[in-house]
Amino acid sequence: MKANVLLVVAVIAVLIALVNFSLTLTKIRDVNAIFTGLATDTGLVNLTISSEANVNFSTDTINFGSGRVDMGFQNATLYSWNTTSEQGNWSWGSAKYLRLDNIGNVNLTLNLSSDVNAASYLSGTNPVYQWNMTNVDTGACVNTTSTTALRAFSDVTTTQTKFCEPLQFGVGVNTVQIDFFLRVPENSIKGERTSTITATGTA
Amino acid sequence: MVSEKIVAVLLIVTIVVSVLSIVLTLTLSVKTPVRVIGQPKTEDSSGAKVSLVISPVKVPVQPSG
Repeated sequence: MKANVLLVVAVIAVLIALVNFSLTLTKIRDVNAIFTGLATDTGLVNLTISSEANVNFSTDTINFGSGRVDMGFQNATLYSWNTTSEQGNWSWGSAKYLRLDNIGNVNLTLNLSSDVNAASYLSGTNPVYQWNMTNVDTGACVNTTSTTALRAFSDVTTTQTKFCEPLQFGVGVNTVQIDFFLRVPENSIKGERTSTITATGTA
Repeated sequence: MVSEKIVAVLLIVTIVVSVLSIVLTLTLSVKTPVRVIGQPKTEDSSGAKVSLVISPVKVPVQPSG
C-alpha cells in the first residue's frame, strides 16, 4: 500500500517536472523568436544612436623654445605661425598652432580657457598673451553669437571664452586652428613657462 | 519489489528533469539580453600646452680699464 502511494506521488512529481520543463522550453522558443525572427514573418530591428560630445586636440603643443629679449628692446614679439620672434632670439620650427577637432557626432558649443593669463604667464611690464581662432575646414566654427570673432586676437583668459556656437562635427567640417601672440617684456619672469589650454565642447 | 524499483527510477528521472529544468532556466536568464541605455555624453574637454623658456637679457661685458 505504501509502495502504491509512493508510486502515485512519484508519478505526480514527474508530471510536474515535465510541465516545468515544457514551460521552460516554450519560453526559450519565445525568446529566440524575439531576437532572431522567422523567415516567414516580419521582424523589427530597433536601435538608438546616442549623441556623444568629443573634442580632441590633434595638435596639442606649441613650444617656442628658449630665448631672450634682444638687448636694447623693451619686449619681444612672438607670433606662433612664424618660426622666429621679433626683437628676441626665440626660434621654433615644429608646431605653429593648436588644432582642435570635434570628433563626436553632435555639434558643440566650444569654449576655451587657460590656466594663466598674460600677467601670470609672462609678468613684467605690459605683457601680452592672446589667441585667435580660424577655420581649418571651411565653416567649421559657426560663431554668429560668439563673444570672440574668428581671426581676431583677444586676451587669453582663465575663464571660459566662447569661440564657436557651434563647432560642427563630421569629416571635413570639424577642425579649427588656434594661434597665439605673445609679447614678452624685458623684465618678465625668467625660466620655463607653460600654459595649459583647455577646450570644452558642450552639446 | 517491482513497484519500489519503478518508484526509484521515477524519482531519479524526476531529479534529472528538475535539475535540467533549473539549468535551462538559469541559462535562459543569463542569455536574455539586457538592454543597456547609455546616457548621451553632452560635454567633453581636451587640453593643450603652450610653452617657452625666457632667458635673462644678455648684458654686454664692459671692457676693463
